Amino acid sequence: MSFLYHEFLFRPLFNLLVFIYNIVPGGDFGAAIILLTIVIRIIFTPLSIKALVSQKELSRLQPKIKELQDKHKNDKQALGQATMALYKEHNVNPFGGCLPLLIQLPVLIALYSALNSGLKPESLTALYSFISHPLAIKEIAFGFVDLTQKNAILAVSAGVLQWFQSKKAASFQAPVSKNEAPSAAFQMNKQMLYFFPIMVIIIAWNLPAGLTLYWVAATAFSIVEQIYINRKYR
Amino acid sequence: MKQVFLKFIKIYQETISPDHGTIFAGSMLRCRFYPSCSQYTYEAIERYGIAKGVLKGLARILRCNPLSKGGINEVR
Repeated sequence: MSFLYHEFLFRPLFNLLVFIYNIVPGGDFGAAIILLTIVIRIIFTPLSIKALVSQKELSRLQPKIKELQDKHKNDKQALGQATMALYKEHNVNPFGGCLPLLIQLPVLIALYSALNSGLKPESLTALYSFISHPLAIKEIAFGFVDLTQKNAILAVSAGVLQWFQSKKAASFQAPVSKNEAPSAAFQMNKQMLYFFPIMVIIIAWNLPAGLTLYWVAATAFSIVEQIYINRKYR
Repeated sequence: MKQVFLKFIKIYQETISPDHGTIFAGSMLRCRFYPSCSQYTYEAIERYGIAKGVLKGLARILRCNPLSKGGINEVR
């Protein structure tokens, strides 16, 4: 299991990162992290756009799901079955399912440890033979950010961007007509609007800036994606 | 040991599970099946024990992907 993780997740990501570092003019590891994030997110763009569109379709069904929830208040089994029947009738389905949700976890862990070990000279032995070996990786990005140290400004930026992203996502899922009562899910999303960004700041506060930088870049990418999709599927 | 596994699934369900939990309850990310993958695994472990139950659960999670139709799928 750990062999599979190391050979198929960690090493490819780590090598891609060092490869980007080698070709970035000026050899800036911060720029390499941002570029790696963009490359990975572009690969997953078709999937994430599909997921966002199917979320929109599901949110159109929310009033009906609410009705079912009221009807089967005390019978979880009946509720589950009725919800499935409703999805089938309208030919929608939660996009993805459990597998894509769970598979993200090892990928994320591998990415984090790749970013982390990029800054340790001893880990350069994990490089493939065709990737040229940098003598050392500079810890200072953009001339002033030490990637191995905590960075409060980056942590707060990650939280603020997360808040902005959730806000854009919420407006995308908002009920179409104004006088319609907001659904329970929409109310929940409103709570999440503050809960999640605060959680991000708390977690990022103690992380090395290299990882927080990844978080900032990834969230910024999501915002661009969401704005694009908001325009296209209004 | 079996109880530990079952308790673990229950804790997952009550917290971070997007289908059962409270933290991500508003999220549109959901399981494609009824009962959900965690509930399915729970029932499978209850009925078949840890080894076979966990395997059945993993097989279900593999089935729960974008290509599958989802729907009602009870432990058998």
